[in-house]
Amino acid sequence: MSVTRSGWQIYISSLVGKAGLILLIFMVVASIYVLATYPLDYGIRVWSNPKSWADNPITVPPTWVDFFTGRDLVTHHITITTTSKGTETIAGLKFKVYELDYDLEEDGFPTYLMIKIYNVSMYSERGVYFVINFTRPDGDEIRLITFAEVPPPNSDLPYIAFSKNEKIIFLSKERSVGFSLLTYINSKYNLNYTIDKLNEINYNKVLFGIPTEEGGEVVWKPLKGVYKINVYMLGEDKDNIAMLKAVFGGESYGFLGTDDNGRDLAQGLLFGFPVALAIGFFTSIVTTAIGASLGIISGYKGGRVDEIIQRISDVVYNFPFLPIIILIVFIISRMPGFPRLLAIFGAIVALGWPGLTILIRSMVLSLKQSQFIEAARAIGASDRRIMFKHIFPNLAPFIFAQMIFFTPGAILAEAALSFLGLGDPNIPTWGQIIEESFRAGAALNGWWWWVLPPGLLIMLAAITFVFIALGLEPIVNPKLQER
Amino acid sequence: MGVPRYLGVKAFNLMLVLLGVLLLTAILFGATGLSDKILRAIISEEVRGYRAQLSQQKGLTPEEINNLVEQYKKNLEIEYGLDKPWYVRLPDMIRRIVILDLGTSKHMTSFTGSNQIRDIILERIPYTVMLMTTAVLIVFAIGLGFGTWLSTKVGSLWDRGLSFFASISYATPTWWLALLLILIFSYYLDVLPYGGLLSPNPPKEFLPRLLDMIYHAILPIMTLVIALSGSAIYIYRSILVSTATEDFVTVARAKGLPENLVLRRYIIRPSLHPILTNLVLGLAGSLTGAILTETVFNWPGMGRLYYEAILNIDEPLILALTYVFTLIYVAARFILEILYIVVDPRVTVE
Repeated sequence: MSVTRSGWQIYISSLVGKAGLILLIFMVVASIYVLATYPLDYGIRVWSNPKSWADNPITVPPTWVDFFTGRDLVTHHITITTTSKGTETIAGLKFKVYELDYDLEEDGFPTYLMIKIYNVSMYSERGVYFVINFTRPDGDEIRLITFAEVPPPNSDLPYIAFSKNEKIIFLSKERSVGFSLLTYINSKYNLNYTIDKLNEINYNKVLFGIPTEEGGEVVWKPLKGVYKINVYMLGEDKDNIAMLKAVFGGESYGFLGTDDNGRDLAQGLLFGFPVALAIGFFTSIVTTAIGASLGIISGYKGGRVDEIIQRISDVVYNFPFLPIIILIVFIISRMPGFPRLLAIFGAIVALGWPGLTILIRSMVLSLKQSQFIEAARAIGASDRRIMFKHIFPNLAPFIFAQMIFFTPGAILAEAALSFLGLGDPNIPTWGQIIEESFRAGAALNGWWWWVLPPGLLIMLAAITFVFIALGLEPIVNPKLQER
Repeated sequence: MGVPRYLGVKAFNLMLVLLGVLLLTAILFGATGLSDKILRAIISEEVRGYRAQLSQQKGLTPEEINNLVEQYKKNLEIEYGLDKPWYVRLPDMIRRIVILDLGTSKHMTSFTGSNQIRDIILERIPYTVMLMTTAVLIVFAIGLGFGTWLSTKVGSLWDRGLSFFASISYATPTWWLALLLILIFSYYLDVLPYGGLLSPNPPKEFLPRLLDMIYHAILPIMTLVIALSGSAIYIYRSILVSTATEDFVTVARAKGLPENLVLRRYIIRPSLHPILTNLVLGLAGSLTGAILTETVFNWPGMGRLYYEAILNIDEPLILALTYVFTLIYVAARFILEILYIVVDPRVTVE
């Protein structure tokens, strides 16, 4: 008595059944996408690795909030160049020039400006000398910063500088940039700014803006247009920069914003799909398998075995769920090297089986009296054969429905345990992401994009299986009552 | 079966649950080597005290002190059974948990400054009970009220809307809902505090202090009420509907009794048994559910304590809290058994 054609028709005719199925298909598709495109060790290699997120703006909302704020937020922008534009001779010295463009289209300031220099090869022990200039849409060129890099004494040439760690210059924070900007604005706009006054307003406003007067006060307004960062390098002809990167910090990022490590939340949340499905799926399968087999054995065998199984399941059934499961996971995860998610899985199974055992046992007790079991016994079928071939198939639809019904509980339990800090920080599950947002005080700071989506996804996963279970109910229950 | 015997059997079963939890924790702690660690911590604490005491006595050379301390430590190890494997110590471990003799917490102190685990926990219980009982009683009132109303409207749009609402509320993690409400009421509307028991500078007089506490309790209670009401209404409605379809209700109506009387005496009265079950189990369950809600709202009850114990990896405290939670849960179940007898005389005749 598997789910027959008519059973399928009953299921698909119900609204919740249909909704559940559609949601499930959506979740499976998302999971397949993740499995196909993400590396398997995504958690450790990408998610918990600060290097993968170093360029990203921190705790910014999704890009689509523009739609509601009424102002286009500045989008995050990265410009990369690997080739030199050419050479330029200044005061008799030949400089290699690298250019990085940026077009400010939105009515706002990029939140920061950062430049990264990778792998500079030097063919002389005199090293190289850098000049970084900044050209604004109004045509002004500001010298932001100059610095030299010399190979360490007695090193082999060509020496590659910034190979292990790239050179990072936070142009919108760097003190010497501040002094350059101060000279520039005071002479151009006749302002009497001191460096302290400049430090009060951020450098990025000065870099990407023009002062206007409003009611006697100076207000910085963003200046739209094309900006250029020119990196001039003085050195040997063969000296070369492998890559240059300019990061223009956005006021928003990606489809779901970023967390306080600059991590792209959309990426992490997407990874949560297969994890949630796997946890829900495996815990419910194993729990149901254990619960159902013990129930069948207990009900069919009777006597001593029944007594023992019933006692144990009754005791475990009455455990206060949350404290005990926390305790189990806590202790197991104190063992070094034990995967946390496996501990959570094991704990949910360990506490989840008795309910089904008690239910199945009572069903087997009444099934045992039916004539076909008696007949099977009369022709000498073994106990095992009767349990597997006769009793189990009769209960299979009910057991299947129970399995589906158990799944949302498992998903919610995993999320709750992760939220309490018992999850694996290296694997971005939805519960884990909310835990991090809670610790960072996301709700108190109004970082809604870090609080709402993961919770909604947990709800989505749970409701998927609740709906499927509700859709299955009319198929499973009447048949059982008929018996 | 007489009442005492009936209660005796129930009490025995519940004692088994308690014993099961204790056995489980003792085995978990023993087999993973955690219990050794805890005992060693207790011993080294006592040894330190002993050394300090010796060093104040005059006329002892450092060697003599060292020898005495070493001897004292050995004695303690034998006394605590550290020389034996953990499964031999099992009964003693269980005894220690039962009387909450778990030594001191590593990181936490009670509000009065004691680091005895017993003091810390006893101090926190009232706050948990206060918060959770209020919430559960409100949920009960809402659930029974709306449940009764809906039980007269089976199949209506309201009724179908409710079952949808109930499944949504089942799928909503309470702790996430808490964060959501903080976002709305503390951040955006800025009308309610986001957590804690009292304001930073709480008033000293009793009444203003109480009001301040209530002000802080609104959001946690609101969270619990929203999270739990959906399924509560659904359950009470189902209970009442199943009674309402009984023949004696039809007969009562046929006799022409006023609908009010039918509802009170013929529907609600016979349904008291499952209603009470729900209420008491809700109370018992809510105490354990407090772990999550109190954590989010930084409410200084047992639940928040549990969270802090996890964060600080404070094994003795976690062990003790698990036991206390189980104890409260089992006690609530036993009260339920007594209530059964009070509301339903048939129970004793079975």
